[in-house]
Amino acid sequence: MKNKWRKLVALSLGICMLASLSACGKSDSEEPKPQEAAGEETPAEGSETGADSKEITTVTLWLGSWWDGEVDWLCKQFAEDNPGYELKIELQPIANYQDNATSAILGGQGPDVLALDTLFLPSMMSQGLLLPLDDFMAEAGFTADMFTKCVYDAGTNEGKQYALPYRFTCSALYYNKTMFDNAQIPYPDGRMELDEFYDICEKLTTDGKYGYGIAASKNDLGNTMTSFAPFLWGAGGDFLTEDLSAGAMTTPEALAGLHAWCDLYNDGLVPEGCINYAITADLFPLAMNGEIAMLPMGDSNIVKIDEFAQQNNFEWGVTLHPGYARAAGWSVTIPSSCKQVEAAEVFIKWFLQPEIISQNNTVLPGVIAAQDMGKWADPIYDIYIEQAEYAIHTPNTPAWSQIQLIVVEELQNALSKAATVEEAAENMNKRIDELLK
Amino acid sequence: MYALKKKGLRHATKREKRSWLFGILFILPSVAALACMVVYPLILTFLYSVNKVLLPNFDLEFVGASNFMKALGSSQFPTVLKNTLIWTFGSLFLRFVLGFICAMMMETGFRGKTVFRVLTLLPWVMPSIVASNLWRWIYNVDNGILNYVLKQINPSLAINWLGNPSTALVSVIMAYVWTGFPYIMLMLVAGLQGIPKEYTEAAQIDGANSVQVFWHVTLPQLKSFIMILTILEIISGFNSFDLIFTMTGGGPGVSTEILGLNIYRTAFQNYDFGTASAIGVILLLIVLVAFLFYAPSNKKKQA
Repeated sequence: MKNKWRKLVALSLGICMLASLSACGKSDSEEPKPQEAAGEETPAEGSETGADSKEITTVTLWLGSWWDGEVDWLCKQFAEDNPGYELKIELQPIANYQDNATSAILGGQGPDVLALDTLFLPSMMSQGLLLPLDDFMAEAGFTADMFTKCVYDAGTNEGKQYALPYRFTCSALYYNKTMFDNAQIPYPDGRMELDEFYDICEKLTTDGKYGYGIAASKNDLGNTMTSFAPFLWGAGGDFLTEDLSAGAMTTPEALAGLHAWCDLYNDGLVPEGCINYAITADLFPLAMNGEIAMLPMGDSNIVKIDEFAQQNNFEWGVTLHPGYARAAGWSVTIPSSCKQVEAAEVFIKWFLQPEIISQNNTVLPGVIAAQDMGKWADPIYDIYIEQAEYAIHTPNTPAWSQIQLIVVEELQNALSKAATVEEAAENMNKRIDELLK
Repeated sequence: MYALKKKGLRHATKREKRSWLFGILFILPSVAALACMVVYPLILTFLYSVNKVLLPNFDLEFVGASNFMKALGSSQFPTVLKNTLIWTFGSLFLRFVLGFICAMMMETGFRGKTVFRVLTLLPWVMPSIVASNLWRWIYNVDNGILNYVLKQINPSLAINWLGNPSTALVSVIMAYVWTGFPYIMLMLVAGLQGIPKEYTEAAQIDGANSVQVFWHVTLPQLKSFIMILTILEIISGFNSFDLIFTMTGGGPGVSTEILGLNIYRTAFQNYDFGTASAIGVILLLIVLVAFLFYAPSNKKKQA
């Protein structure tokens, strides 16, 4: 009798285990319908509109974690301005942002609206991970000239538009006035020639203080591009040929740019650790501590340095960066896994209105009309609008993520003297050509 | 079950058959779970490795061995493979040395043993992202503590640990050793506690010194622990990714690039899931070699 009971209990436990296992996976037929997936509050197809029936459609949005301070007002105002909709913002850290977004989209779990760095766009557009927005743009009245051109162009692939910029950024040249005063050098004013810039760095480098900071980290490729590209473009070179079909790193202009950047490191005018440094994580604290006199700095960091300078009694200024700055930005996109395209479009149409996007205190708007509204009308940001005229976006090719890895690896070889600058350039070209073949 | 195996299912009694069926029923959930979580991804990896994977729907286009040729034909593959082997076996050796020293110290009674135990466990409980940033700061050439100390001794000793191709790999290996040796230590302490005191006492009475006791008594008794730990460490070494990614990103150049990092880049930055799977299969084959060493010795021991 006792044995029988034991068997019965064991059998029921076994069945429970099986049932729990089978519950882990759902068959296709059990998958929620697109609208159900957004939450039970979503109105069913054919029913009254969300507003009439008081049912709410939730739009999910992925933004970078630095938008933390903007979440409350965005959600509140979106709900107020768009009855029947609510906004759910999921903040993501920048580390592995693209990989997380890709995994979510491929797994069918992506958000309705996805914010993407323009650097991520070429590969994601070419892989069919984003939906084209041309019809939506025509319907919503958006035109290309409403956005900062270089950032808008980064969202174009084979004549179709996949991304609309809400943020524009480029780096201007931050300089520590106190360090310039101590070295008795006049403050930089306007775009310097690369030779002139080198001379100033040389004069500013003394006793553990450095004239400038370069970033060559392999785990933040975008940062390294922000650091290197101005020198390459400033010398008249480019990464690829005009038709984007081959590498162009061995042209005399590109070699001059490579030398201009590498010489700063090899001649000790930048910190030795730069080969493994990123701008925000490593160089920015050094600039705040007064160990670096000049640094490429975006609009979001300028505000932080101002606060720090006031506390630590040093003066600073900002001017145009030598050469051409790397234009960058973030755009809103609709991932191919989106189950509520209409709701996503409602959000994008609302979010990109100049009156709305200019209310954010985090990023310089990519919508031109918003760039002199609200906080962004402050003269401190004028230099970034001016720098936009001397800013270029990295080549818009699907192979860009691989190309920039090649460039950074070879740059590191040149900096660590594992290769000469010429050998590094040869290797870059050879590997880029192989890739694009 | 053993009796049934000996007799064969056909000659089993009704009771034995029922008991056998119950056994099968009990292992079924585990088999199903294993099939879902291990076999299915493994089959997919093999499938992707001989196909071009077209996103976003994962459509497949058969390409034969071309993904393997692409992976093996890369000019960087030999360096990456060499780095992976140095990384895996170098860290395995150093973790064992450190783990053994600490485990032996744990076994000898000394004052402050509890504090020592807590301190040695700290690296293991620390999240790897914290540990890797910590070591990145320690090695920082401009403001790092290591160079600060070395400069006090002799300024020429301070070098660019992570920025120099000849020291970068050794530096990241040391950080990896630090994060993982407590696990080895814990396992070895468990093994040491299981060795009967009589064995060592008998050896000592026979005139064996400490080294001889360790070599002829302690080490053979820990053989099964060492075997298991070796296999686990080899697998963990080959699969490593996060620590190197944070500390150097695989640089300078490819001096710290290992296969795990290479797979990640190929799949998630280049969107080439076919080649990433091919590298994964190559990695699997290398790890299987380690198992082939383990399996015969384990069988021999069981016999």
